[in-house]
Amino acid sequence: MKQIYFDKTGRDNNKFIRFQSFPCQFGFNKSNILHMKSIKLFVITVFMIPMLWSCNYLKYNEQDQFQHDLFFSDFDRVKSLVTDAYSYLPDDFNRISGAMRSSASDEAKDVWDVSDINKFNDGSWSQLLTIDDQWSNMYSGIRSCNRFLKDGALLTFDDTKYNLNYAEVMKQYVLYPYEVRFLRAFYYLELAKRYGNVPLITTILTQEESNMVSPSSFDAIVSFISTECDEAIAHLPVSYDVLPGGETGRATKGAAMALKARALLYAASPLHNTTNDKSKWIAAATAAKMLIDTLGHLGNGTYIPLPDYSNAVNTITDSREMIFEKRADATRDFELANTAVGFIGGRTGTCPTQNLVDSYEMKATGLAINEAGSGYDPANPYSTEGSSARDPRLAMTILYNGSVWKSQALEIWHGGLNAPPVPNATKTGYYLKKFLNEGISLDPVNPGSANHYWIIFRYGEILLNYAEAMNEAYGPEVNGTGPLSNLTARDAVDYIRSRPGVEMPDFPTGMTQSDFRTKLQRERMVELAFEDHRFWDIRRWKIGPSTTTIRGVDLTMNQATMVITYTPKVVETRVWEDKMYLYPIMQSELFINTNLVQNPGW
Amino acid sequence: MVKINCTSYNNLKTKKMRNKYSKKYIYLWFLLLMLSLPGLAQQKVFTGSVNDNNGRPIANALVTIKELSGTIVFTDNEGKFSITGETDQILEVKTRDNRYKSLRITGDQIAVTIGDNDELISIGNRMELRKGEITSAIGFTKADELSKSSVMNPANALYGKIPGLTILQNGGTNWNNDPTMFIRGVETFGSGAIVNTNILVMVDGFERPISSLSMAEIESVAVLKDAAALAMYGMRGANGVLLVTTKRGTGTGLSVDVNYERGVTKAFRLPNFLNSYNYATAVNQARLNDGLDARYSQPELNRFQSGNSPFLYPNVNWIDQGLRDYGFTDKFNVSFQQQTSSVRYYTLLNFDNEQGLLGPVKLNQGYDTQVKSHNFSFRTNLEFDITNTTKVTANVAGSLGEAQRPGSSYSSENDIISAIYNTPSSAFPVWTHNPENRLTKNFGGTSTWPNNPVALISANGFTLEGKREVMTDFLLEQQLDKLLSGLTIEAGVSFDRSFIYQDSKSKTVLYETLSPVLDPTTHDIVDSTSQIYGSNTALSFNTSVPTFRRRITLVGNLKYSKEWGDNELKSILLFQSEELAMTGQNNTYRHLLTAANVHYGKSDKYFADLSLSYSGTNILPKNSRYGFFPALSFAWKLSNEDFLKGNTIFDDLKLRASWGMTGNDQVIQNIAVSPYVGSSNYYFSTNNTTNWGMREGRLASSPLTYETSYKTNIGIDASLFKMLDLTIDGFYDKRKGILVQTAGLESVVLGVLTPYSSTGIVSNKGIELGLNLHKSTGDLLYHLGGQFSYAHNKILNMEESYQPYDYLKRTGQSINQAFGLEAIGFFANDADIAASPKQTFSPVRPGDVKYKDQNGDGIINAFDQVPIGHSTQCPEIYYSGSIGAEFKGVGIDAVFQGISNKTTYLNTPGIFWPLVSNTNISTYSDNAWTPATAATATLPRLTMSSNANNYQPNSIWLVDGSYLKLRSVELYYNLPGKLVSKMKLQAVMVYLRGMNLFSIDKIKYVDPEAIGIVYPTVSSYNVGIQIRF
Repeated sequence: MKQIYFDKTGRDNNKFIRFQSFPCQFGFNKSNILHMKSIKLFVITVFMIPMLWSCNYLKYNEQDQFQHDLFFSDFDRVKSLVTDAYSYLPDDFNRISGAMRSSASDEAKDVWDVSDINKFNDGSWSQLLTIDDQWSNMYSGIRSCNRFLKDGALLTFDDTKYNLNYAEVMKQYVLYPYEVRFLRAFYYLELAKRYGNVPLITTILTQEESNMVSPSSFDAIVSFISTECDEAIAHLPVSYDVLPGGETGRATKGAAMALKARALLYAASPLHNTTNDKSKWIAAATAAKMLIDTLGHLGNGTYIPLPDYSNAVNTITDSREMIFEKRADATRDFELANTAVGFIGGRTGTCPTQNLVDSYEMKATGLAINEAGSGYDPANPYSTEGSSARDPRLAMTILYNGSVWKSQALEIWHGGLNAPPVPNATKTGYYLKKFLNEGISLDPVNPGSANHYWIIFRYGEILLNYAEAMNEAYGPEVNGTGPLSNLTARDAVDYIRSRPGVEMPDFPTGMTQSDFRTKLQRERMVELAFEDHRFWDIRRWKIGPSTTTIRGVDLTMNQATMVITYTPKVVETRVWEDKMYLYPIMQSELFINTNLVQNPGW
Repeated sequence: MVKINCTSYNNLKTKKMRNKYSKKYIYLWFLLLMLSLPGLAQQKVFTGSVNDNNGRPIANALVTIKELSGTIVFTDNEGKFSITGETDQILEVKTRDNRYKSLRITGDQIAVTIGDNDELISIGNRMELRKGEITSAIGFTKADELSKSSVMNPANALYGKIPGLTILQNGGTNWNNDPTMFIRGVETFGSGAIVNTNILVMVDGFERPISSLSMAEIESVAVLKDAAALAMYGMRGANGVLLVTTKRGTGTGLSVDVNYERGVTKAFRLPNFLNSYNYATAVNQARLNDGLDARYSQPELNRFQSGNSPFLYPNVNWIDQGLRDYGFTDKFNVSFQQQTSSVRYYTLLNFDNEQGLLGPVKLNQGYDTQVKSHNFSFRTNLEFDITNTTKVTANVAGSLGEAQRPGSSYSSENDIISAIYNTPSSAFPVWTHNPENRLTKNFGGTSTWPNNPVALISANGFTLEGKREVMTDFLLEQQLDKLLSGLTIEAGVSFDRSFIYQDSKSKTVLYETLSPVLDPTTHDIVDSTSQIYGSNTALSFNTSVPTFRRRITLVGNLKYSKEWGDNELKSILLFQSEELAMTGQNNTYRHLLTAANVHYGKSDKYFADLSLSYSGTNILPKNSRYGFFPALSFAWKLSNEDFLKGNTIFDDLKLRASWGMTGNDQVIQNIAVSPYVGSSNYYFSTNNTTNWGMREGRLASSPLTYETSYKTNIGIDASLFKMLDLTIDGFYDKRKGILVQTAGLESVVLGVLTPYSSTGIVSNKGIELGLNLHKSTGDLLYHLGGQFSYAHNKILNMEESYQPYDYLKRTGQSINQAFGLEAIGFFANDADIAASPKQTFSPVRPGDVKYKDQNGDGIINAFDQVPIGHSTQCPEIYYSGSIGAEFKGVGIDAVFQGISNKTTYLNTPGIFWPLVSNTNISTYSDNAWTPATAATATLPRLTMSSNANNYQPNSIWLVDGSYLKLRSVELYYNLPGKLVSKMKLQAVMVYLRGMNLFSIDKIKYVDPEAIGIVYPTVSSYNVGIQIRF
């Protein structure tokens, strides 16, 4: 018995004897000693079984996420970081609390009182109540860009060297750094146009560093954008059609040129060019001209104005006017939000203003409606024919009373199907047409959807940017020097006005710089309506106070004669304070980092 | 012999074998006894009596002799017993209510006195101590008190039963409304997944939800409150522990208890919404206030009022349409229990049935869509002594339940309540009759209010939710007196599994909007238009398993107790491993615990406990995975000191003090490393191909640790004048290592989520008072009880971001302290607005709330928020009172329970915030501001806009959430013994019982405990009968 139980364990037998003697006091015999052993075994088992697995028991973990080294070892994952960098691109499809930013400019009024967009208009936004605050979001995007440039830009993916597609993959990969630098530059323009002077961050910050960064001046940011764009222009392809993967939608040479042109135009504008330094306008014109001369109508013709102005924006993938767009999945949200009440699923959102409608000139004379001899007929304000016809872009952009939408003529007279007092009917007398895809079914039973691409850069903007910069630098009909010697401001704007299907009369000759500026600003409002330009143009031109009265129209129909009377009305008087030329930086940031400076007035 | 012994512990597989073994073993035992004893002492019969402190006899107490297992007798109705044994053996007496006493047999007559202090109290971690020697702060309640509640979830029977235990009712169906439970308030904060305020609930020593049990099977509930009691729970004890003990077989012979109860339930309170005329008038008033035209013309208002156009100008009381006045409950249970010399068993079968409050549930092709449930549950607790030193406990419990509600598996009963509450009475008729074609009958509905409540209830099919739950545990206890006298080893395993499957049979219906066409000048109805939305679909079927839970616990412990002289030592060494696995990722939790406790008593006057635990968790990273938690406690029983002997005031007086640590590990999994995580997608190529995006996730949180609560407690337990029991506790806790977000400390230009930090600190202090008076005078018995708990917590560190004014700081305030603007009236007119500080939330008009400019900067903004009232999470004061009397079998019992020092935010659109986002308006808004009522108005003007100014958190909406509720009242009658025995029964009781009958509070429109849009809480009226065979 001893042999079996103890010798193997190497314990001394004395211990066993002692052990044995203990129960023997009570008269246990041998069999009870064995009993003791089995008890001991039981004790040990009870405590040891769990102990044995306890070493690893708590290592249990269901984490499935990639750590740094593993993440950067694989092309697809590095590519996904670049994809992430794209995802911060903005659009204005009802992005601000369900409304378009247009409704915070004199282009539009949103029908929903509850939307935060109204806080721009009633002056209740502040550093404590920020609206469209992209500060955090853009710096998140910038961090992804910086992370890629630091850790993902110079990899060779040796593991996959002998894969058949290695060469093709690397052809795409070598472009990534320039795409990312373009995106980062773009995000800095998004920040600078909102906040003015912002910190320029090109490294991966630690927590401590992030609390101590200092702002760079607006001009320094634009200068950074300009040089980054130069790099991107030098390396990015004109198109991705012919590259492996055919991944159109990525940043191109044209996109980088357009970004540079826009950034320099903003820098030359009155808000940031208080001394009206002509050289800034020349730089802006030169940047725009570079695109016109290489890829535009004076170059290889990659980009040209398309004839179908209204549809150009919704069939973008094959549009030759489109330079760069924000892409998204197929949806119908924008249509649901902006279709007029009275249509299935429609609940109204953006209501174009009379201010915008009045900006459309007369087709025959090219004059504004309030100019003598323009041919405007107040009783037939939306005429499309004859001497009272309006700019064709009006009918392509805005739905007014009588417009046919989904084979149904809109009734915007009081008591009509799409008019007050129907709840949520338009507040201005107009509905949005631009960007709305008429073909999408909003019937909840059989809903449809389609891709919506937000225009970030298109050729029309470049021509208008060029015209504006040239006018400010040289005047309406004066050529500059060097690359600016063969296209005047007037030529550029006339080129866009003469697009097939629009064919508005040319700007008159002999205009003063100031008259040209006024007319060009009107042209820009019309051509780029609802493309998220007006809000920013108001700011960089510093014309805020003139945009506070938001006008609309009431339509009444005489039931007997069916004659409609148009009664102008003021829909809203908005609050304007000059501090609104820039966004406030949210107060919490200023508390954390005392190096930051709040914008004036906030 | 040897062989048999060897196999005996491992291979007790068949009954036959066990019997064979037992016989041989007992034979052996007797043989050994004979050998071991120097001379065989004389066996003789001893007689004795068992009485309580007041000299009342205790019937049915179990009397055994420790050395002679198998000899059991019970006391008779006079408390008398006779037992065969020998002098110097240890006599053990255990009453049915778990009081225990052991004494050495000396004379022939044995008088045993068992007092309240002899009650064995489970103090957690498989330890039991007599009440009189406990050194920690433990509150408890027993079945006879709990059984006076008619509830499905036993947690709802605990209101005001134990000092320090805060139970807050939640809305929801009766079978699905787990109340919120706190022990000594709250002392940790955070948001969402990073805060764990849950208390640990242990059923028979294993973690289990209390809702898995039925009221009938619960024997007692104890609450562990201080470190002395909680240190042994290691990383899981800091929020307090609730111990539930289920019933064990007791008593001579088989006793069978049958209980049947029928109840009627009724919504506790429902808000009153305006009728369509008043609604339309209110909308007009709101638009007028907004500076807009009236929405409804006078002829239209007249049509609402007259009801002459019920389809175009309806007036529907949706509460009447959607809810019925009463629901029903049935409860039936039967239990069997018995104790024999070697086996104790308790078996319960329980059936609950409940029919909800929805109205139109029978409008379908044969099926009923009522909100209802039925649940069958069972329990068998089995204990048997396989030898006289070996005890096996096998508990099996489980339930099979089914609940049903209308609609698909994505909807809930709260969606229906939302539709009922927030559809204005004027919105649409229940059914539309198209005037042109009376054959069509569609549900009414509009694009603004697409959810017709009657359609949601009756025409969207239904979802069945089946629940299966099994809880098993198995324990083997072996006395090791042969190895060392007083040594016991125990090993056990529990395996619990529950899952819920959902089977939904749902469909949708179309709905129709009728709009009148009015003559623009006369406002006469000239025509109507119809617009159809939605579609009628066939029933679609969908089955899923949304919840699955599996828990495995292994436990082993070694107990050692020894008495020498007037010293007493009890100790335990415990090891436990547990795993909880639930559906989904990062939902598996593992814990290891090694703990030890030494309890020492001297002269029945001085007691001390030392507890140590070393605890580990899988949630934390390797370097901070384990924690060490010690606790020390003392008790001094003054009443046993000579100087208090013979005093007439104190029957019993004990002082307690404890200090120690305990932990809380429930932080988020995997935050010690910074991963790359999926982010937004983007789209490339002409086909717009989806490309997945990834980016840096949250930065690594390090160092990371568990929460540690440092708890100090002092207490007094006393009984006075032979009728008054008193317990007072005072505590001071400090919780460190709370996981907080550092977002407020880092600039967002960092561009990535900032890490968490384990640096939050909260202090928590308070007192508890429990008072119980019970007295009998002749046939009259009466009792009076009162409990009071106060706990005040304070955030000492939360890594708060910079606040420009001290009064804005959350640090220094209670957890979830309400903050808001101080309303100082309503703007009278435009001049008033112009003369007042600028309010920046939204443009203000006369009738809007005017706020106090706290910092005097002339601008009202978020910097003008101040603390208002108290915390919105947990009341600081929780109290209750109970009263009862019994005379000749007729008795009455009532329990009141209340809270104070809690703030409630009345922010429910439709009920408290009228008309916001097309919601409804209730009578709560009757006293809204209008120019005419400006002087007396208590609420701001009506408005159709979202009006951020008025609907800020402010002193109008942040109100005192105190209430006092009648939780239960019971009238019962115990049939006279003679009558009962004539019927060959042991006892019969009939009773009438009311639950949650009324509340005194300042929130008069809804249940103060269930603000918001939830399935209503109910009052219930029950009638029942209990029979013991």
